[in-house]
Amino acid sequence: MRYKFNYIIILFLFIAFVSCDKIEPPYKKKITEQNDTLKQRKVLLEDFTGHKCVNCPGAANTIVELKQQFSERLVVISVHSGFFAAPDPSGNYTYDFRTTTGTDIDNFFGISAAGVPNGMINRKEYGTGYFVGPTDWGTKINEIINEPPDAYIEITNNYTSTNRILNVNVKTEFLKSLSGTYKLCVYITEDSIIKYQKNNSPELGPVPDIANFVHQHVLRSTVNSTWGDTLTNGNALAGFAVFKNYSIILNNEWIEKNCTVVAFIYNVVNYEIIQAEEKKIIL
Amino acid sequence: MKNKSAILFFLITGFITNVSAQNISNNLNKGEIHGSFQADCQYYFKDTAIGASVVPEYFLMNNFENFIYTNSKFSAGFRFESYQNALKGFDTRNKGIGIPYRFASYKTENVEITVGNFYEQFGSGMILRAYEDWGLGFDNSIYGIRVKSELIKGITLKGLAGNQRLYFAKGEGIVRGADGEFSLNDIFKRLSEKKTRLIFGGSFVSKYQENNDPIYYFPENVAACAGRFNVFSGKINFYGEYVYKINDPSAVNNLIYKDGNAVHSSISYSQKGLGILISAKRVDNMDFRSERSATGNDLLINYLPALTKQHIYSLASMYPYATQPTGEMGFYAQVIYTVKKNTWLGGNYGTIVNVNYSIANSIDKEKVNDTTQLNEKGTLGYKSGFFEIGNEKYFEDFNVEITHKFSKKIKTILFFANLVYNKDVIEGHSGDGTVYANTFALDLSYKLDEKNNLRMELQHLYTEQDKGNWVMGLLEYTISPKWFFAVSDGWNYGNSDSKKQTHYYMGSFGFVKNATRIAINYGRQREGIICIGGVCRNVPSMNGITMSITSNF
Repeated sequence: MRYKFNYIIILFLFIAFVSCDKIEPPYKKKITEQNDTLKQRKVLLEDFTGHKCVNCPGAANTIVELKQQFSERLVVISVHSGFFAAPDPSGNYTYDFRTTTGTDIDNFFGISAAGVPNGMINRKEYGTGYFVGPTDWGTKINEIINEPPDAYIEITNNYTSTNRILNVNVKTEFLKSLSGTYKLCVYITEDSIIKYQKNNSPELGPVPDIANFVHQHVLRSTVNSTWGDTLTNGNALAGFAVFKNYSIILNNEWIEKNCTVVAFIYNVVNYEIIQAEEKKIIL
Repeated sequence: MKNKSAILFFLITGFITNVSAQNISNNLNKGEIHGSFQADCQYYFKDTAIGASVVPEYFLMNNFENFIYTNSKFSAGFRFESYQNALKGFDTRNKGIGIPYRFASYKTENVEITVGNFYEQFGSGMILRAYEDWGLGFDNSIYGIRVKSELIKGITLKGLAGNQRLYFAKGEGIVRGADGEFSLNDIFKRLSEKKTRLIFGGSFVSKYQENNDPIYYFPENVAACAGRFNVFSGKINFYGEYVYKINDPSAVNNLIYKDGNAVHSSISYSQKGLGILISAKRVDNMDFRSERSATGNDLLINYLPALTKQHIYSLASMYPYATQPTGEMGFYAQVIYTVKKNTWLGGNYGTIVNVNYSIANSIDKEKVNDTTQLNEKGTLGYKSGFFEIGNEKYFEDFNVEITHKFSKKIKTILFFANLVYNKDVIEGHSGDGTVYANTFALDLSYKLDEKNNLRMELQHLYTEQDKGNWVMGLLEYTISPKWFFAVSDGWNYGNSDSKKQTHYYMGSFGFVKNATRIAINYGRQREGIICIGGVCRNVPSMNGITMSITSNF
């Protein structure tokens, strides 16, 4: 009997000994061509960050790599929230990137409380929570991005520069029959905001401060509300379409050519986003 | 006919069931149930002076109950845990109620087989250590199967496979491992009488995690191996362990493909009145977890010991060291000497002098080529000569503790520590630099009678960096064996920001009866930042009442 157990141990030893993959360079995969179609699934990555978070430039760099791979099939929002996003009363970090919407989302999903950088992929829940570390973003996106889309979103922006009024028309269409309550959220992000950022990675810039860090995909505001407007509450058949119109006056501080409207549809039961879209305010 | 068969079937099965139930019942009566219970509760107050806020729940609680049933060779058990919600400072993924630990085990003289959750350690743990620490909210138990066997006396073999606990869920990665330990004095008869004892050991551990990353080729199987020895000879004990791991790009090492290794060796000498311990280690890219994206304390497979003294005086423990798994060289030395009784220094009861020195430095890291930055993501990262010490000091601690008993009633401890604490590296954020601190403590105990004891602590921490100087006082009264009361105050009088020159007061009392202990304290707790593996979390300051109940049965 006991010899049998020793065979089992020898088996463990064997498995452990031979289970070993040595990777030779190049370590990076070649960018694979994406077959873009009009109605395809787009995935929303929400990056929770802060200008005083030293590891966050690394996460921003991961987003650059992911955008190279997934191009416009990946929609990104950078949410500055929590302890490391709080501004200092004086010094280099006085600018306040935080937004009410960002703080609400962060508090609700408990992301920055668990640490930054961290993110959410389509607000999907994984085992212990909603957040996913930057190392896993690519894997988690890859797992869902090629699934056929559940819905389609089309954004049309009309911006009048004289009065800074932005009209947003969002068309949503379900591509398959779905039951339950689905809501539409419309947010505004801004790219290329040049401000200080703390940094710990020499390959990405000076340590410990990057004076002219280019902050991308920064969440600026919501157009409807943090938790959005109801699209359907019951059974919606494939082809079910809803048109929503919104108006917002752009804050004077935002540079309109760098601003993007981001829209996404989510299921209110599990908060999971079924489709996302983005469109620059000025094309 | 059918009915008769049915009746017969029920009679037989009823009989068998009855017999089995009786057997089971008889067997169960032979068994024993043991367990333990702990509840830690906190009620929070708003305190603007230290920036402490009230939690929305007002009251938080961490709680567990352990039940273990043993019946001769068989044992089984589970641990019920509840976080309603988790206390401040604990990971919020500890949420709700669950049974994250359950096992069944069968053990004979030579073989032990366990299914379910188990804790395990190979060697000193540098290749594999699954353990739990309730106070820190740490538990990386393995959920799977483990077999232990002693084929021949002196040869212990272990094999295991499973997934690791991740709060109330399990990690994706599978951990497989095997370990052998060979006690030569037990194996070879002619060595059995020898004074010198020799033990050798070796381990292999491998983890598997699927790779579905769109950007990088990650190894799905990462293996590590380790070898160790331990020699005891009279007063001397010599231990050494080496561990090697192949390419394991992860969140903690910034996705570099360099192989990792670590070595740890210690030698100790002890005789009456004298104990010497010298220890050294080198760690190079040895963070080992069962998921490559895991950070913090999540899914750690191995444990790299910190070769530093854990201070008991609160101001000295303000700057604790944490092993830097991405690379460090550490050295530790300790001498404990007892000055004989009835001498000038020893007095009537003897004096114990405990001198301790530890240092941790970076390892030397060179670029792999001119075009690649140091530790650049998706590269080999760096080159490092085994004996080359880096020029960055992470930590240094020189401390002396002198314990002297003046009489049967009065005992004193004098303590001094000189600390160098590289805040940027240890806490994982930059811009704060290095803290140089000197701490003094005087600990006075006065035994009023057989049962009553009064103890006083006075501490002072001097530093020009970080939050500046601190002074602390503590008064503790113990009525053995049931009661203790304590009041303390830590005052950050040296803070350069006069608004932050706050008092961190604390009052506590405790009661012990049989196997149950209740402790209640009220006071303030400092805020801090914890950064592990590239993810930083702020542990907010708090003001509140804490109650802790522990019990065993």
